[in-house]
Amino acid sequence: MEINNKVIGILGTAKNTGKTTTFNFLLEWSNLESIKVGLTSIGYDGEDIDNITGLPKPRIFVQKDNTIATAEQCLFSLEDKIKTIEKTDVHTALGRVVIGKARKEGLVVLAGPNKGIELQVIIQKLKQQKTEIILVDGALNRMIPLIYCDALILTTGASRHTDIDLLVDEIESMSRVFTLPLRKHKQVSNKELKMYQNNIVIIQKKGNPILLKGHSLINQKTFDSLINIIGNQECEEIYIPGIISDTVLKKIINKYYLLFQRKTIIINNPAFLLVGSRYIGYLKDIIDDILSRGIKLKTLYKLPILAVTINPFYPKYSRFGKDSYEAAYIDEEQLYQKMKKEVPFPVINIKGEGSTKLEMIIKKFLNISIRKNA
Amino acid sequence: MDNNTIRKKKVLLIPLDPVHDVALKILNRKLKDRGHKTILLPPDLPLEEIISRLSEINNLDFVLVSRTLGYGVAELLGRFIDMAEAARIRDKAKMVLGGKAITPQLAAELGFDKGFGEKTDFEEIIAYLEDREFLREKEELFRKKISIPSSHTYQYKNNRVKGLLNEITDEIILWSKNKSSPGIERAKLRERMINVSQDDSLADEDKVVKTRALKKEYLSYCDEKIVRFYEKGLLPEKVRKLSSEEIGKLNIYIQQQKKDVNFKKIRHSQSLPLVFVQYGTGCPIMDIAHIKTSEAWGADGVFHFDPSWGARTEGLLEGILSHEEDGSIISWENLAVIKSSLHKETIWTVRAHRGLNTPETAVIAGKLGADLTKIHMVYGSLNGGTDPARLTIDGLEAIKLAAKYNMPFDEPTNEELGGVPAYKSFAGLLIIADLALKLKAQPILKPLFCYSPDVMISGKMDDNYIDFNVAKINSLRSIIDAPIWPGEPIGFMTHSEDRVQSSLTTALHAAIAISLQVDAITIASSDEAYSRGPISLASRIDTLRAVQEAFRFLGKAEIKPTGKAREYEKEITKGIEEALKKVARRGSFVDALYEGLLGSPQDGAYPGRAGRGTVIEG
Amino acid sequence: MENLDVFDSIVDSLDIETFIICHSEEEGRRIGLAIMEQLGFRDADIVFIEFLGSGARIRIRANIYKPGDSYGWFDSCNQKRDYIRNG
Repeated sequence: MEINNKVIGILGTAKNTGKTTTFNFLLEWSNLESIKVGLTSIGYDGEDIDNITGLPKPRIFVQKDNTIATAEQCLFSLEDKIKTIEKTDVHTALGRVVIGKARKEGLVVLAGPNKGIELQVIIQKLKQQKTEIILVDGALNRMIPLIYCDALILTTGASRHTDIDLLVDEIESMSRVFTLPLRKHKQVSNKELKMYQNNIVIIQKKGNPILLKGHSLINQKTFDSLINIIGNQECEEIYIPGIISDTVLKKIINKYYLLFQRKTIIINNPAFLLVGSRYIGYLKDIIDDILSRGIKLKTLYKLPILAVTINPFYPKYSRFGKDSYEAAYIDEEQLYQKMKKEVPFPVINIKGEGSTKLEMIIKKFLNISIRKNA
Repeated sequence: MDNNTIRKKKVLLIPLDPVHDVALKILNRKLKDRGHKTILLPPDLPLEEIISRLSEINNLDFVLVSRTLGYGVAELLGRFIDMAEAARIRDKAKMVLGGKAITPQLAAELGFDKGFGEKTDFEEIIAYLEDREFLREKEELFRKKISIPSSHTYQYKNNRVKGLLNEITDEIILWSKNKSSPGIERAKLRERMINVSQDDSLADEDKVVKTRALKKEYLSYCDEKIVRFYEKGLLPEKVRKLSSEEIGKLNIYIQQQKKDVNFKKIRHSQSLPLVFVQYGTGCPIMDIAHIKTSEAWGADGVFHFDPSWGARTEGLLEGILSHEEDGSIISWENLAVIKSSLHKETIWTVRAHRGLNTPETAVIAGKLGADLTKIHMVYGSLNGGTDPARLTIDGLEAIKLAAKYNMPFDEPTNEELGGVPAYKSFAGLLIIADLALKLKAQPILKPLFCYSPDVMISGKMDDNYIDFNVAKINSLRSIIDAPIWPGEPIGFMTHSEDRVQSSLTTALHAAIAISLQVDAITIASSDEAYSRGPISLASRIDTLRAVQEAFRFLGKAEIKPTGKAREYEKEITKGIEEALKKVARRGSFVDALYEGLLGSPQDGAYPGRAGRGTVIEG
Repeated sequence: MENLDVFDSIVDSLDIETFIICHSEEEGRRIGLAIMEQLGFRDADIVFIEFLGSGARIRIRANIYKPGDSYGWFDSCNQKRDYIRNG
């Protein structure tokens, strides 16, 4: 089996949605299949008590020779269990990230690089240790650093919302965003476009691209200057390297769609669009509206979502529970069925027979060696 | 690293809380003062607005976010961090999170580069921003041992009193010539025994032989109870030896305690008074636990409180001993182990003062390096149960020893608690002080801040507890420039078993003390009025915190007494002179004691009986 | 539980003021809450904690009745209770 050293990120929509359970499953599977695995996270995970709710959490169990990248302060209690290979220059709130190898099996705490560019560095260093698969655990609802992975697994559950319909709406929105088509090479190449990191780029039918001051569409000023230029020029595409807020998108839909008709809005990657929305659940409707107004949406970078895992558990505030939170659950079957109906990715309940399904998905993914981007 | 070599940073401060963030504003001011460029955003801006503003600022070095945790806040911060990264702010700027309940683990989970909790020193945050190491004031204790008498001249300001005292103390010195007592003899023998054991030029066998001989002589001056202990190993009732296992563990415990030195500062903007607490639970292990905790919570000094029966027994025991009731036994070994547990800047007093072992205790204290001791023949003989003649001769010897071992000593006027009026007790106080000066010792005056029987009867504290206490201090100060250390404790007889009232009255009396700038005070625990059991550690911390708060509250401000204080002061001073005249006229200090001139049965003072007839003439 | 009758007479809270030997503030908090748990109180909180030196000064509070509850002492106000049932 050819593996091709893929990086899989676990993106959670909130705490306690099953990230670490999914992560642990993949880790266990990799070890069972004797695949050399490298591990890190973009936050802090592996503690046995949740930082906020005080409820017990699953921990990360490594096997001998698993390579990990974690903060030095997390190694204090591990001492002889992890052999230090390198102390990197990547800093975190818990000290520098250290690359190490497990001398024997045991529980670890993973606190890795907290931003994308540093995750790239760490991924390279893990690859240098001859890993065949790299697993990156998410943290909380954070997503930006994870776009440097080769594929993602989304996790969601009652901890995000106890309302099943809202949960489904959200994942649906995320799927819409992640399945946006890649921009195809045009007059201005993708390569050239990718170089514009700090300015919104307006590509005209004729002539050179116009650069706007600012890379994100999140305030009135930038939007106004964009409207001005589009109004006066013959433009075809608008590339936003930064964030687009949902408020701006709504403005476009409601007041300015005529200006944008038949034009293409290009986003840098799905996460940048998601992060601009306070309520991700509504994003799918916004996207539908944009598209129905004849405005095209494309992305410069893309990465696949392999599956969505669901978790019916959530921490319920209770006056009499330990540390005031106790475990509660929503209707698992209903959650599964509704999610399956609306979401184009495999839906998996990791604690059930869903784990076999996930195994198959991962196997399939690892055998595919084409990296999906322009 | 001085201020000029630190590269100036550009810092954006974001209060994400809906309400104004004081900490962030203070940090903003401090950073500006150090020359950094800061931008403080208004509170409660929407995230998009913040990110928008952030992305317009060039060359930002740090973004400081302040937010208390709450429902949904973690997710909000997660999104904020993501947006900051997507907006390329993280390319250059470091993201720092501060607030209540923020830990490094939480900061890591949220993706911040650094996290600071609520109790973080501002200095630590600034050091991080300036990229230098933050050195906590660990070994650099802000308090250093000071000599209490060093700032006083001992000059008399009242010549009448000076003259009277001179007469009286000349007589005492004359009277004492060629007199001794079992206590004094034991003290001499004890000193020789200690010298032998510390003499490195002697072989071990020689030491044993010499000590045995000295011990034999020593025992000839001891009570039956003590002799039984040395000859048969029989301990008095309620006393037990610590096992060797306990002693081993105790030494380890002491080593551990001394490692992490992290003391609170009890004073605020004034350098006096020093704050003392007394220990004496009966068990050296518990005492040390109390002492170390008291040190941590700000006490400057501690003093040893021994069992009351110790004062009535001729001779001291040996070994590390535990006592089932109040008071920790005085023995060389007990005191040595306690001394070993003290921080080097903690002041240590061992009280000699009121019993049959006064001079011997002074020897042990001196040899062990105690900083201070306590000697007062007047109180000890009129209220402490020891015979006046015996205690006078012993006390004199003790004063000489105190001088020899460079231990200033305080004189507690506890006879006031029996009912003796303040002026009379001050007469006694000054006599002993003058005696000390003649013997080249350093006396410390200890008037009480108390609600005494005499005050209850005369109504001097009917309105407030301030006037009379102030009058006491001012009266003494008008007579002599000597150190004054109210105790033991301040607020005596004003405490109840209620923890708040008890702590408060201690704190308020501490407020008078700091307002008057006396040299030191001894404070009680909030268990002061509870007599059915030992003092709890929690109750000690209560009053240390309360006193710290009083000092913070008052700062350099003063408490203003009413006009009565001046009136009382004059009365006291006059009373002192009258009492001294009577004693001088009597021509014999010891007889004056017996006859009640410094405290009579009507006052509630009775000459003690312990040691009566034991003065050795010639 | 019959024993609860005794606690019915507490208006709202039961505080424990003490000093706990521990190595950190977090440990002190955990011990404090564990003390209340072992004593049978499910709704407890740390009102105050200060860690210094060898341990922490702590006030632990067990909430017996909170506003809105059905108060045990309220009913008993209306009766004469001169005995305590044994558990």
